[in-house]
Amino acid sequence: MNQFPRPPAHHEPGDAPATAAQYGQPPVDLRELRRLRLAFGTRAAVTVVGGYLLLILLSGFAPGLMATALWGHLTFGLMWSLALFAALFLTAWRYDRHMRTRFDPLAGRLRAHRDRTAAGRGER
Amino acid sequence: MTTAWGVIPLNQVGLPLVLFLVFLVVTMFTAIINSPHRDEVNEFYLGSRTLSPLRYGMAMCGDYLSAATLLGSTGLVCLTGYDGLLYLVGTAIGWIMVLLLIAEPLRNTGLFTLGDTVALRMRDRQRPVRLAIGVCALVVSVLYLVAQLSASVALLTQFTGMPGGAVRALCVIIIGCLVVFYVAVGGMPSTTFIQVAKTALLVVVTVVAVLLVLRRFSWSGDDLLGAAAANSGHGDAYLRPGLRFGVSTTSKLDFLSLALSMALGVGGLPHIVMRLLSPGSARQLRTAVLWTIGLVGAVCLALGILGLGAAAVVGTDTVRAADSTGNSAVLLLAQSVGGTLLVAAFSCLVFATILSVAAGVTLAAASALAHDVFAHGIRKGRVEDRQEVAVARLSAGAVGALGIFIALLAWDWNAASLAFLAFAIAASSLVPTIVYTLFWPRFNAGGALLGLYGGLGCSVLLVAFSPLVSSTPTSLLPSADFAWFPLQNPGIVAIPVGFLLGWLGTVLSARTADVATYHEFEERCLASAE
Repeated sequence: MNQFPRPPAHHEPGDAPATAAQYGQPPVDLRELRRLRLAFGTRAAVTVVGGYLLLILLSGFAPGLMATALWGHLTFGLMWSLALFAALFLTAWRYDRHMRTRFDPLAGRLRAHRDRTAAGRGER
Repeated sequence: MTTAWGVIPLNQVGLPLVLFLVFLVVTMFTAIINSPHRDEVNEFYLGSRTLSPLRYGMAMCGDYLSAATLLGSTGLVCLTGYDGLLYLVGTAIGWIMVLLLIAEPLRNTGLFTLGDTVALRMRDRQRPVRLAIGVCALVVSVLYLVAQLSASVALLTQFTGMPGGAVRALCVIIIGCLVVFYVAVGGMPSTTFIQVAKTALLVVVTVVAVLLVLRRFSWSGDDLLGAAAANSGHGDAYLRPGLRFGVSTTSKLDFLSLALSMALGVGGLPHIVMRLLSPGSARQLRTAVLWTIGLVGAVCLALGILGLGAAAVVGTDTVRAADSTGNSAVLLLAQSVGGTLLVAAFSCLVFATILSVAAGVTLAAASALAHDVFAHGIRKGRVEDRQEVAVARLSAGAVGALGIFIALLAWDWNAASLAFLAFAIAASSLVPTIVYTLFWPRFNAGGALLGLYGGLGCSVLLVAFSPLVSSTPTSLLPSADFAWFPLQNPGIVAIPVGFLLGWLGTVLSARTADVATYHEFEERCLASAE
């Protein structure tokens, strides 16, 4: 896991007191990592799952709207169902890109820091 | 489910039978040569950790798409058009929660079962919590197993017509024993092999069938929809909401409840959780889940086309005449677009599906029993590897026997209802605990226990007082009437209750939050060692 940039020099593990070395003060803020994962994840999950539950609700309680013909035999409800499949694939693809470009580099730095901390403790 | 004769004439049974046997021989042979050694606890629970993401994705897809989807959902599409299609959308949508919120954190903090992850947060009270998780996992898995075993009777019905009691029992017992054999002998490696093989077969067969159907309608989806509506006997109503769920407000709420269970429950199914723990790194897992979403999504779309095709080509009346549940739709369609060969391929696929899903579920239940209940609940972690593997193998036999027993008693229960019930119980008991464990620093053992047992108890109680058990002719006890809960699926009430109880238990518990433990946990959750 060495394809990630090394963490900044001022965070050498020797600087930190033992307890901090155990729990953190890593080069990456954990809150930032959590935000990167959850901000995207919750928003996307609520959108897709919400879209599905809304489809069910409207199909149940506003069947007229869902039966609106768009073209040929395709109704609004069927179009919505197809759009949900598209949204599923699109969200999965965007999540992968988000994680690869934004999340993985930071997580890799955290991991590298932890490995070096562990190695440093081993030497002492 | 009343069939006077089989869908497939008896003189054509030869080819499917040969295919079944080939599939059986190949998978059993692999199970034996790949069998984990008696002390390889890792190998037994997780299998190889270095497969390609595509293989893991195929295994997850194979674990997830059950015979109820293959026969039941296509049948529903054929009989009820629009409303049936909504099932298939839900089947695919559930995976987005797994990808976005559950998969990677769970893998990073997990070992063999869900209990391992939760135990990291609650070290000093891990025994009761592991027991609770084991109980919930067992209930969900056994229900799911029973659904698969009843589906085998539905498959048999397509060949022989409604089988007599003895034949039915024999069918369930044979399938159950095969499943126990795969799991007890081969553990995760052989289960993975069957699931990958099944997914390969699934993709090939459905793609061929979809191409044959679309060719009939000169590659026009609109023509297909038109023909399906015309031959369904419902006309334009077929492509509008309401044929299945439009009867009353209760039935609409029931479907909303089911949809909620499908959308949230996938990540709580023990066999899916177990699969998520298998890949060696978080990135491998992510790519594997992406493959799964692609495969599950594509197959669900294809099954939708096949269901509509069955209505368009075969006609809804013929399908309903063969089997009132619609289970035979896809086989009848295969007969008319692809002839005997395609029917044989489809039958073999359904058979492979039953085996692979049942094996995955049995393995998950056996590991919950052996790892959470026995090794950590009873023996407090002081157990040798070979002892644990032996117990896991025995548990597979016990779970299989329990599944067979219940399936023999409840053979006339609808396989799909049972599977959806498993989703609802998973979503109301295991999912709240997973979500709180991963993301809520304050969550503690009090919350976990109340959430798990409360969610489980609430679902079971609601089902006991639902139309599934009493008051309608299709209930378990048709002559009794104590069904004050009108919905068949408890999800819409039980899921919020499960989350609420998890929160309440945490808040009421006197223990303060263990910040240091959560900090360590979160660091691992976000970036585990690889």
